[in-house]
Amino acid sequence: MPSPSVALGSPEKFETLYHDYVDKIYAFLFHKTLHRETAEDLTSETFLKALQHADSYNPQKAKISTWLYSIARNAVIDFYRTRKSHADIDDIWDIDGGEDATEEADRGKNFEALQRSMQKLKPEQREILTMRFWQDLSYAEIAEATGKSEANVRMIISRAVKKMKPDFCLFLLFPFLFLS
Amino acid sequence: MKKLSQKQIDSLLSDLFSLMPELKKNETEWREFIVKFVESRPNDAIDEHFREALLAEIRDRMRTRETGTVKSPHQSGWKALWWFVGGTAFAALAILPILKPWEGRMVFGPQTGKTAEQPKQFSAEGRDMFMLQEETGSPVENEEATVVNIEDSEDNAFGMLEKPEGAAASRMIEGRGGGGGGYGIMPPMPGPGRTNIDYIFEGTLPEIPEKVGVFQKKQDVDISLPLENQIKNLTIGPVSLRTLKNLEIQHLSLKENVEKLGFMVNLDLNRGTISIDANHQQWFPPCYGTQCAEVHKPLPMSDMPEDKTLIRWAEDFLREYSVSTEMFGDPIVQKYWERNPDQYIPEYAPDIMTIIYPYEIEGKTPMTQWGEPVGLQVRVSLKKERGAGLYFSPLDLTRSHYPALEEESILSMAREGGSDGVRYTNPQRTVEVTLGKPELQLTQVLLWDENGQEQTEYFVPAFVFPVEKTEAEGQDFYTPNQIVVPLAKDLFAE
Repeated sequence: MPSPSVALGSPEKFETLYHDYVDKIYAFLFHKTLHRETAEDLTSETFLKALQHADSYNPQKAKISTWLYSIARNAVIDFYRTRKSHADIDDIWDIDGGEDATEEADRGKNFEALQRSMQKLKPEQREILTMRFWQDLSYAEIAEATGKSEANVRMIISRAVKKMKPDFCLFLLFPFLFLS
Repeated sequence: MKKLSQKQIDSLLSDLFSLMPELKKNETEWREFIVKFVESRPNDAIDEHFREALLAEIRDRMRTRETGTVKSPHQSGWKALWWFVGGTAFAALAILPILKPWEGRMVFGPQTGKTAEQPKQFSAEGRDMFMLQEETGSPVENEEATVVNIEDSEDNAFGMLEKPEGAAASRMIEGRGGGGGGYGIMPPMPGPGRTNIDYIFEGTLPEIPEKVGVFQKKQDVDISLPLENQIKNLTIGPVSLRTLKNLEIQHLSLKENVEKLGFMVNLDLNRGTISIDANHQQWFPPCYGTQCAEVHKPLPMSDMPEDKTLIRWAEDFLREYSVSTEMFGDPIVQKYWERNPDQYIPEYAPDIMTIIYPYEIEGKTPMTQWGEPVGLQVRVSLKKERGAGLYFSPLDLTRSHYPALEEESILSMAREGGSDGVRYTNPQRTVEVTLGKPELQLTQVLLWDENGQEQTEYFVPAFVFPVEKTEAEGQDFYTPNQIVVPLAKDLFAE
């Protein structure tokens, strides 16, 4: 078994890891929070935690992306747990959008429709869907990041789009029905 | 706004249609949907200043680590150890003092002997349930070993834990028969002559939290052994395993090579369980004639040893194999006939009795749907008057919080016999049975997937109401001992 320090612990290797993943992790966190500053804070936390625990990373147990995304995922959970106002949600999709959602999204009615239809999905489905459609990650990359099989990822995506499409299309066609 | 190339859209659609061919008839709609979805992507480009600032911070911290100012808690002590990983639990392998399945002997911890070198974990999540260590010549103590591993997940992470198709309908039955759960808590059945039973609780419920933690047992453990590669390259005579693709070891069987009263060991590497059983060839050698009748003569129930004796045998066995029980609750002797006072007491005692050392999850003992504690099972032989094996299935759990049921729903569910009570739609009569004050317990709930292929195990906080026995003359209906109401609101969405 290779030493964990050889796998990750040298400064050069960690920098490579950073360059390879910082954009992806940031995007992943932004899609979960829809808030630029929060996503930046959580990205910092993710990489600093990864650095802190670099010696404990075991390449035989999990691929590096699986490990890193799980740290990021836990950072989001901790973030909402420590904020009482959001204590009962798993990510921003379950409430009325992030503070940056509308302006960052720049997508007007599309985004609102999407947000409403995404609320029907399980957090895991949302996560995988945004990884595929927004982050352009391949099925193999998503499988690595989530620790699932590629076949499972494909199935989750297909079920998720099938579940959300009717609402999404309905809103796009008849947005006035959803005005509150 | 992000634009997709035609090729990318085609690729996404192709994937979708390959999995769900029925969608292809509306290809135009789906194409539009995917384009709109992708176009809705918010601006998630990272700020360059932030990227550089974080990199500078990381470099700074790495320099600090190199100069030794900050030392990782995981930097020393693991060189002599290999750890199996995969998120499973195998602290119970500690019971095998020495195995010799491949080059180099291995010692498993935890044990009560003194530590030659502190075992070291390097699993990402800090789990410490399954380890493999090079032989150090003395037993190993692993103070960090855990038997219950809990990983937190997002709220409602398991989605709506819906009943399987048709299960909801089965709660209401038209006539006799039918109903029944089969997937969850044992259902209180209605009485004969189309009698519905209302279970009434009139006291004050204990305080109900806003949210409850639901624990899902991880299904796939997927441990890989160091010897896996050697086995994959094994050649026996003209047959070489190299010709087979992607071989995996699913089970491993071992035998204690001793003259008498040895044990067989079975490891399930997919589920991460260990079972140790008496080697029957040695424990109960073949017998003939009258000698055989004597050997297999059943023990009358009056000869059943006291619980403290059974527990002493179990403790001796565990001590002999250096199995620590510090992480478990007090031992409980399993006597199914005592679970229900109305139960028929068998004439003869079983040859093997089981003692359970229960797990503790956040100070609570998880219980099966039959009201038995879940934990390390130790078997003792009444005839040999000693420990005869054990079974250990570590709990590798994911916890997710769900909103709790409100009082009204709890009482309503209790009234109908709990989450899985079965009732007639057209009862001829309805009788009332009183419930006592409930206790908060962690209850095992088993749910099948929608195809009925895979079962997932959950531990859910539940109010367990004792059923107060009625002394009604001529009572012709059966009531269970307790009514269980799981508190997670979405657990039984219908």
